[in-house]
Amino acid sequence: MLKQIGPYRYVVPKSHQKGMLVEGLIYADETLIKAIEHDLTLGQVANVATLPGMVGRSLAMPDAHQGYGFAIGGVAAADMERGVVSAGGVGFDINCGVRLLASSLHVDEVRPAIEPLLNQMFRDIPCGTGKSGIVSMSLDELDDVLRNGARWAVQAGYGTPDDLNFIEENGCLEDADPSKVSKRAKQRGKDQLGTLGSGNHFAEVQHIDEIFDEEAARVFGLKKGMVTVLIHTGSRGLGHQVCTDYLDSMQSAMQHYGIHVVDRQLACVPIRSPEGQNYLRAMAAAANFAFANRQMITHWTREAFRRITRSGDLRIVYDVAHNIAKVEEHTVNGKRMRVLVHRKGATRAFPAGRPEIPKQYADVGQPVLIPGSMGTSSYVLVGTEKAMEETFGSSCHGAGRAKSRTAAKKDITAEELLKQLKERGIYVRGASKSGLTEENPSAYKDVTAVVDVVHNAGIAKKVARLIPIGVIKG
Amino acid sequence: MEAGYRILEHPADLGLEAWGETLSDAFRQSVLALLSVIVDAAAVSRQASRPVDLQASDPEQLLVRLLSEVIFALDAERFIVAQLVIDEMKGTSLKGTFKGERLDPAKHVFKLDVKAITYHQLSITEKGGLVRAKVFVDI
Repeated sequence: MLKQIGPYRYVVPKSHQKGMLVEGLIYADETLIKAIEHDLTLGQVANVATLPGMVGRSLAMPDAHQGYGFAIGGVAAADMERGVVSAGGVGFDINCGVRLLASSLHVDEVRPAIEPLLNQMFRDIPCGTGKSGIVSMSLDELDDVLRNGARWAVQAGYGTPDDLNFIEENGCLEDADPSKVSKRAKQRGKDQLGTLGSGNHFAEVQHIDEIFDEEAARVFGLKKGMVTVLIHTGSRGLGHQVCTDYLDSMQSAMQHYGIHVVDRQLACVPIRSPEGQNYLRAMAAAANFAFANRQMITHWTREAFRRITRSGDLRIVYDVAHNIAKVEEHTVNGKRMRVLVHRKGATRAFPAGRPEIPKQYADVGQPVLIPGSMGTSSYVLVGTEKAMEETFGSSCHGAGRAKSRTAAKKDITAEELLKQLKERGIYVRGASKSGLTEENPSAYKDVTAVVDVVHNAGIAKKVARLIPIGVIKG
Repeated sequence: MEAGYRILEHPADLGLEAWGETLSDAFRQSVLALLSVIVDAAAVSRQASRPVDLQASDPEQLLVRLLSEVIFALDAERFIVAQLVIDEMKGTSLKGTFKGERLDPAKHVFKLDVKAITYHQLSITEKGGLVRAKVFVDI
C-alpha cells in the first residue's frame, strides 16, 4: 500500500484504510522504511488521518516507531474551526524536549575533569525513579510555575533574563491556566520540579566534532572542539497526570460530540469545545512546568561547571519541545490557515524569517536539536522553507526506538556497556543499572541515518555533530 | 487455569496481560503485573493500607483508572501498591484497599518509571470461563 513518491518520501494513500481524510506521508530511506513497516507505525499514521478536521497530511518522521494511538515521530494538523485536539496526540510527557548549552571551553580542557564534573552534576541534579526534587513548594507557588514557565525559574534565581530569548515560546506558553490542571496532577508534580526523571532522559556533556554549515554554526555560536551540554527531560509526573486526566475525560466527551475513533488512545474533542480549550490550557501549564524544569537543570549544570572547570558560562543555544500541540499559521493546499499542529516526538523546524524564532537567528532559521541514543552522536540542524511547505514546519526528534526494552536488556549487561563506553572516552553516571541497559544504543535506530534522511529530504539542514564525553542518566 | 499475568513486548513500552476466573481476579493480577515492572516486588511489604474507590463508564476504563491510581499513589504519595483487596466489584465500580508500603529508597529497587496507563489496544475479554485483561503502559 505504501507508494514511494520521490526521494525519501513514501505515501500512505487514502485507500489504505477506510475513513482516512488525508493521505499519510512517511520520510525514510530504504532501510528505515523497513523498520517502519515492521511494526504498527503505518496503521497508526493512517488512524490519525481519520480524525475529524485533519488537513494536509498525517506525517511520520524517519525516527518514527509504533506508539499508542499516534505513532512516536508523528505530526498532524487540525483545522482550528472543524478540527479536534487529542491528548494522546501530544503524549504523556507534555513538552518533553531538549535544550542545548554551549560553553566557552574546549574539549581538551574538559576531558581530564570529566569524572569530577559528571559526579558533581549527578549530585546536584536529582534523577531516577522515586527521587524528589530539592525544591519544595506549596500548590500556590506551583501555580506560579505553571503560569510563567522558565520566566518563573529566572525570577527565582535560576539563570538570567537573556536565557528566555533562546527558548521556544520564550519558555512560557501564555495560554496556560493552572486552574485547568487537577489537584492530583499538582500533587504529583510539586516535588518533581527540577528533576531529570528516568527512562530516556539525560544530561550529556559533549563536544562539537564536525560542522556541516559554517554560516548557521557561526550564527548559533558553535565551533569545532567546543564543549556543549544537551539536556533531555520534560514535565515529569505533572504532565503525565494532565494527559491521564484529559485522556480519561475525553473518553466520555467524545461520545457527546459524536466522535468515534479506532483506538481509544486517539480520544479527541473539538478544539473549539470547552473540553478542548480546557485541555489546551492545562497542556500549556504542563509545558511551562517542563520549561521551568529544564531552566533549573541548566542552572545546576552551570554551577557544576563553575566548580569543576574554569568557566560556568553556558549559553543557551536553544530549547525545543518535541511533545506538544501548537496553534500556528500554515499554507495548506495554497490556502493560508490557522491549524493546531500536534507534534508527538517531532520538533518544530521553522526557517529564516519566521517571527517565532530568536531575532539573533532570524537570518538562518531555528536550531533543531536532535539527541542521539546514549553514547552515539547528537545533531544540531536548522529549520527550512521546505519544512514549512511539507511538514507544518516540523522535523524528526531523535534516533527512535528499534527494540523493546526486554530485547535491549538481553544485548548487554550494564557493566559491559559502561566498559565499552569508557573505552570510547564516555563516562556515564546512571541512577539505575536496569535503566542503562534498556537505553543501550543497540535499542535505537542509527541517529545519523535518521538525520541524513531529514537533511536530504530538505525538511531541516545539518549544522553540527556533537559527540558525548559524559552522560548522567536517570 | 490459575489466575496469573505476563508482560507483553512493545517497541517502546510494555503491555500487561492478566487473567483469572472473574473480573476481580484479572484486576488483582493486573496490579501485581504493574508492580512487577516498577519495582522488585519481593521487597515490598503489604502492611500499610490505602482505600480505593473508583467508578467508570465501562470495565476497561475502570481498569485504566485502577492502574492509574497505583501510579498516582506511588508518584504523589510515595506509597507502593503491592496488592489489591476488593470488597465490592460491580464491573463499572470498585471498592477496596491497596495493601503496600511507603517508598523507602534504601530498601526498594526500582526497575522502570511507568509514566501512565494507556487506552491503546485496551481489552477485557471473557472466554471459556477465563477473564483476560490487556493494557499497555507508557514508560
